[in-house]
Amino acid sequence: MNDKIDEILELLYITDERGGSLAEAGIWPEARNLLNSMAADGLVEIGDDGPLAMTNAGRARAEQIIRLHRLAERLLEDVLELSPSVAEEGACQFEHCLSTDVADSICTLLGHPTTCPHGRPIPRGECCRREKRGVEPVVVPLSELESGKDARVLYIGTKHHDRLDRLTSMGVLPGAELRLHQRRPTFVIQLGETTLALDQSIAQDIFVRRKADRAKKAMGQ
Amino acid sequence: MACRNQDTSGNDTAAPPTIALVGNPNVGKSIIFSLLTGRYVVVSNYPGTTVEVSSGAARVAGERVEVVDTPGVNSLIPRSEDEEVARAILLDRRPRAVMQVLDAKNLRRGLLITTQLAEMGMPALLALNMWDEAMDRGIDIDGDRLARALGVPVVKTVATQKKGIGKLASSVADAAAPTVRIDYGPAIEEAIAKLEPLLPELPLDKRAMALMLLAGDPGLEERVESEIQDQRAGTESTPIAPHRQGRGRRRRWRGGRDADTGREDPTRHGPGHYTRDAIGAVCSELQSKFSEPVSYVISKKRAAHVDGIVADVMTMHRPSESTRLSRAAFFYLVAPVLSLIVCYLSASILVGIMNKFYGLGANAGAVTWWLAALGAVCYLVAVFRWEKHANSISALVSRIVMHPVLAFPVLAAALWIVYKLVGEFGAGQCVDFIENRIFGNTIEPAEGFGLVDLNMFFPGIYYYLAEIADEFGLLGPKIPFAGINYYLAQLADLVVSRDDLIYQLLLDEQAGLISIAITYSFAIVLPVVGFFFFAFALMEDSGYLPRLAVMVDWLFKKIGLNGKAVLPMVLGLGCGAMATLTTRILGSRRERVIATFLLALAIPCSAQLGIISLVLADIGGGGAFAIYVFVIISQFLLVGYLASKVLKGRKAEFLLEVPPMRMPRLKNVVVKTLFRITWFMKEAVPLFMLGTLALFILTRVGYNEETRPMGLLTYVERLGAPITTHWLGLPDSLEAKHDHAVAGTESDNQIQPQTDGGRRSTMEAFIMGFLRRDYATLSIRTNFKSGFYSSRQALVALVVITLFVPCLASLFVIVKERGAATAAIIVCFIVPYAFFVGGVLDKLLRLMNFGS
Repeated sequence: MNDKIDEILELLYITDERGGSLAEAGIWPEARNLLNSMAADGLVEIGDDGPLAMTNAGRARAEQIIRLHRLAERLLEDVLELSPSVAEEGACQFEHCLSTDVADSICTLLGHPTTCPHGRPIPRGECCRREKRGVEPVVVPLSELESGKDARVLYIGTKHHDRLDRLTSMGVLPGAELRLHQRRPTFVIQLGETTLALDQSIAQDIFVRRKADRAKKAMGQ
Repeated sequence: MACRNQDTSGNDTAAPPTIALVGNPNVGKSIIFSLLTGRYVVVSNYPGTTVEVSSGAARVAGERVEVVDTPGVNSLIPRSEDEEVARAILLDRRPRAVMQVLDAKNLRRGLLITTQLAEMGMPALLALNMWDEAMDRGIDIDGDRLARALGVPVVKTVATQKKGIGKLASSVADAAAPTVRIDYGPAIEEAIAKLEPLLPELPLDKRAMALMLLAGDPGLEERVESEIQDQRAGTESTPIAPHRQGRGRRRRWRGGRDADTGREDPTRHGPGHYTRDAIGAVCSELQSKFSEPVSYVISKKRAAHVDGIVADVMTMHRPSESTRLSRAAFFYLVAPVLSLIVCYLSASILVGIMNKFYGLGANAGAVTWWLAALGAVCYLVAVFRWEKHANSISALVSRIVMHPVLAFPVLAAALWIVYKLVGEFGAGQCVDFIENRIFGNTIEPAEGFGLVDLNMFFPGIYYYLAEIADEFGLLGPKIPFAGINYYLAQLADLVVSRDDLIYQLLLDEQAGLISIAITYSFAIVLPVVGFFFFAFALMEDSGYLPRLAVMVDWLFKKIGLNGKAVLPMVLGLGCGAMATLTTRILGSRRERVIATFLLALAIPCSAQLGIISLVLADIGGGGAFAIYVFVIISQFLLVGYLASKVLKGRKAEFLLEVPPMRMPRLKNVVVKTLFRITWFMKEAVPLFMLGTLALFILTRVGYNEETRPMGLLTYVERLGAPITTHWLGLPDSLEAKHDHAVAGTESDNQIQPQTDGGRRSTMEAFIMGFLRRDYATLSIRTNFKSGFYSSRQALVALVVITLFVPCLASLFVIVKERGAATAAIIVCFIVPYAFFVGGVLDKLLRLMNFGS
């Protein structure tokens, strides 16, 4: 029942987004009853001669669903590298079972993406509004971290066995906290009392999670 | 550096028990080694100083033992040539105790090795070194708790202050295998259980062996393989140690891990085949269960375990009060003064160059000061901005000298200071003083010196005081010292005539063993090399060199190397042979070959550089200097670029541990400088003597006033004439013979009065070049001073001799390190190439009408 309502809201949202008009006729007839109950819940308004309009409450709920769907697409296609068709299928299931909080975490993880893989906008969530800069991903390769920032190593994505071993034996392991001193002429990082200089090509393979700025944190307190 | 190798321990019954020093790079193993054994090994502040194994006798806990110093390792599963060497010691020497040296600031990384020692079942004890630095940073480690957790003695030491060394030595008796056991999870543990019965008997715990094989360890695979074969072939009863050591050494010289091809030798398979395959099967089966390399999974488990120990024993405090005081002194006193000095020096260099082109005239001084002040403000802003993030002054300085912009004025100032110290003071004033005042020549007495002449050794206020004192005659009269050579000649006159062969052999003006070889060794080479090594030691111990590596990495990438190569390259300016040894720190064979090649071609050693700078100064003007520097640097880059294209291989990636900036300790700097000077002189003086003797023989044998005015050398001159006179445009020494008397009188600043037998040979330099390039450069200097060479010819000759073959000592090292074939290729390329570049330069200089 709820899933069906979600489907309708999704359809309405997309039609609206494309600039189409929302006519009752566009909705399959058997949804008639459903639409009536939705109208009763204050999600849609049904005009006299048929056109449909989402109420504010309806739009808010639709945005949430669309947001989940498109974030799921991003996650499945970009991070898990699934094929678009598989990703689409997965996304359709995700949108119904994820909570808002989970959506926000995924959004943060992905760096608050603004569009889905098909190029359509992803409605902003609470987390995006909280994040001032909006476009700064939390998990990035070390090569994209700004200098002077603190971060924690999440994983090392290298294919070179040798490189991996040398990094781990120098203490670059998941969980290690580091600070990026500079990006040029080479990357210089500090882990505890160890200072390492490394190439951009190695830095690309080290994925880190940003840590909140100390200064910002202090201001928050 | 060149200490005894491990190979001496053939018979094990009489040999005293071994104590091996292991640990991460740059934690102080070598200094503890020196303290225990009383033997000096080079101690520096950069990772990879020790590339060879040294050993020495010591008395530890009332027992005679042999202490072995090993190259630093980050893991006991070797990933580079020097790590391989260190692990081989543990396996082959079966040490009575392993003394693991840890950087107390970096406990986590040290304990990663401790866990590996535990698995190997090695009796160990821990030295928590650099305890003072850890305290300064507010790091406190509960030593007793750590000792209980690991089941081994733990001693806190400050090796540079000799603290804790006695306790460390007495704790050797209590060394025990660490009691750490890590559970690697069901999959890996199952694989270990499967492997253990398959493994042969080696002096190594089976669990450790299994883990190493699972993590992928080509060196150990090779060992296991040959061991399985030996056992099957029933040769187990024969002692395996010598055989294995031989193999170990071969791997070391031949570039170990790169030469992967050797591993798949089909004749090795034999009876051990099935076991080998079974081991391989277990390894690949395990790998298939993980999406990440097994070694990475193992490392992560190990790190997690170590983190648990660290959390238990380590606590962080606020840095101590005294540290805060020294911080304040640094921020308000040292930092402003230093940044002003640095900025003033680099500004004056900049203004100097601008002056050449734009003629700033009277404004130059003001411009320099304005620039300096502006720069200093930039530095101070940076210092205060980073102040709260840097947990030590050293870290702050470190950031500045690696900063993409701020680092360059520091570099310029550092180079300027080195130039003043080595170039002007060492190669200029000191050489002049020792050569002309102390040694003198056999014919005329030197002018002697007074106390006032010593003022050059005391720069600053003493200089002026001495000048003033001299004005009033306070420093007494000049000491009428006529020079060692003059006195020797006088002494010899009492015994033999000047025409006697023995007199000429020792004191001949052109080829006497004392008057030339010894005089040049001590009057020219010693001061130049000495001051260079002093400056180099300062750069090393302060930790500046690895930061230089960070700055020039991009440039070295263009020539197939990476920033790490800066260490051998800068050392190469001191001594090519030493530098060729240190190319071992480079990651791949390709890099090592390129670095060796460039060292042989385009890096003049300091002795040669000193003499070159003397000649360039005599030629005069910045022009000759600029041309010389430009030609050599461009050749370095050009040939390096081409070599990187010709030699195939993976791109050299840059991953370097940067040690902290430290205040160099004067004692270590001096001891190290003396050690290196001794090394250098031992290598150079015999070659000087040999070269001089060879020249003496060449010019004396078959001497004939008319047909062979230069003895056998005449033939060599004729042979070389097409190249030297036609291609390089150098004068024909045989023709010049007739009119040299005129030229001799024209030159005004000659050191040796030209007698009629005065020899001016072009080929002499190139013959000597095969022995030592600096000696060859001396020959050019003599030719130029006597007016035989014009400025252009001298410059061409200098460039050729710089690019010319490395000295004999370097050549030996190249053969030893890279193999005879590579050495032959290098020499065969360099000799014709040096002449080619010289010829092209000659043509260009003629076009430019240079010094004609």
